[in-house]
Amino acid sequence: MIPQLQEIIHERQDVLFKIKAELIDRLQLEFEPVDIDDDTFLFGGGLSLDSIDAMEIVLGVQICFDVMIPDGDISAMRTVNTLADFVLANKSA
Amino acid sequence: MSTRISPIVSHLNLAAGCGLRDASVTASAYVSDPQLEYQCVRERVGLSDLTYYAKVRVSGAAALDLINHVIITDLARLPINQTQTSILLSDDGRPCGEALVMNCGDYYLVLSEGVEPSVLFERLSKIADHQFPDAIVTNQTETLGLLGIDGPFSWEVLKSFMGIGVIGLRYLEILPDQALNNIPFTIFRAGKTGEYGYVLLTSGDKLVALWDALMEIGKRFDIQPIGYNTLDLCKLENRFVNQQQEGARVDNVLALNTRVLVSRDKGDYAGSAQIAKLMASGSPSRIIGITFAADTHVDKPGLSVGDEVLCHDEKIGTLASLGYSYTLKQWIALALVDTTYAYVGLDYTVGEYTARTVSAPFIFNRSLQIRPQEDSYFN
Repeated sequence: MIPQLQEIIHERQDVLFKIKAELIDRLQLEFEPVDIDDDTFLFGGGLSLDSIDAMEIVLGVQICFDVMIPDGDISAMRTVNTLADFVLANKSA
Repeated sequence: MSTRISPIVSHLNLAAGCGLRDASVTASAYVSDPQLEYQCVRERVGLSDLTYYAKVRVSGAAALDLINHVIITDLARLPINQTQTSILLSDDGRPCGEALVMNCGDYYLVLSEGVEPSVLFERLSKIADHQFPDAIVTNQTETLGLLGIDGPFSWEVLKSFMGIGVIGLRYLEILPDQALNNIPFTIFRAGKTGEYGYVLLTSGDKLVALWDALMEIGKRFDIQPIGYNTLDLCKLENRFVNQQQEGARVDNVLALNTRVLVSRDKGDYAGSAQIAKLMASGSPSRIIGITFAADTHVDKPGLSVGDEVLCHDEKIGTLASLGYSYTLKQWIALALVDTTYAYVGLDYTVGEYTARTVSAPFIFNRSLQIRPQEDSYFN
């Protein structure tokens, strides 16, 4: 694997791990970060979270990454990967 | 294998646009332009014939143990009048069907696609005979009928005759004892399109009457029938597992990004040793979403399932599912790639095209912006 690709992957892995750890800690999920696939859905199937959990996610992302998910922006909160997309896009913005 | 013909196909006298799905002749499409059916689901409401689903009733003291033996999830905490989505497992831990398991109180009803009904029934019967003699397995595929109603305003069609209570129906919750024109049915909120979705269960001999009644009452919502081609595309866009596509191409269930579904404490079950091993070591490959540039030819992209995914000329995987997203106006695909490469935001190559890995799901559904308490199709 070429170094540039490795670098992009490492940056994403780092964000994904932090998101998963924050979700587990904040929502008291009975998982380890490695148990949660990157494309796991947060609501409905997948982690089966609810609207109260959504507020915790917004708070967790703000504390962990210093980025704010705008009120009502549910597109960022579909899966762990969409949260990572949002964090990476707004960290570098 | 015995081939069935859907009563809806016979009723509508469909000569074209049919295909074989799980050994049942079913409409793949009802109109020649697939985009029209697609828009119906994404913008209004569509009615689908789910006759091809296997419907197997399991009762008796060992019912839960028998079903738990063949699915990835655990039914132990599933309340009465609630449904669980799951995946059927083969004896070596591969996915072999999509499942919706209804807890009906006195019995469970397994609704499944991606597996022929007779095959599922025979397998469950055989396992019951050998390991769970207190479970009673009954094939109700012929005696029960199943319809799906999906779309941002599907709830409003149902509300027009069921009343406001249907709005409060939670995801996967079952509401028995409903009727339309004196046709009894049970309904639960589910669906695999990413929009508001409901599944209606009635007796097999009432299926056609219920179909006609829903088409009639849905007229003012511009309801249209939708075939399984559209359902497959919606599944792909929303990343619901499709046993007919990527499910048939993976060699282990964890490659479908299903780790959170795996039960940790239900003991031994089909493929449990193989799955436990992969939970520890990680699946060597997994499914990831891919989009192709918007200028990729719509009609003839030169892409097909099975095509190699390359990273700097090195093969890292293959396409497992493919479709044209009318929402994104792009070709989209699922690729089964080496896990070390299965991350979002990377550019690989498929044929002559650049393939960018993207997060699930592919699209943002209109239903996420619809509030049944405030919105209406007629606003």
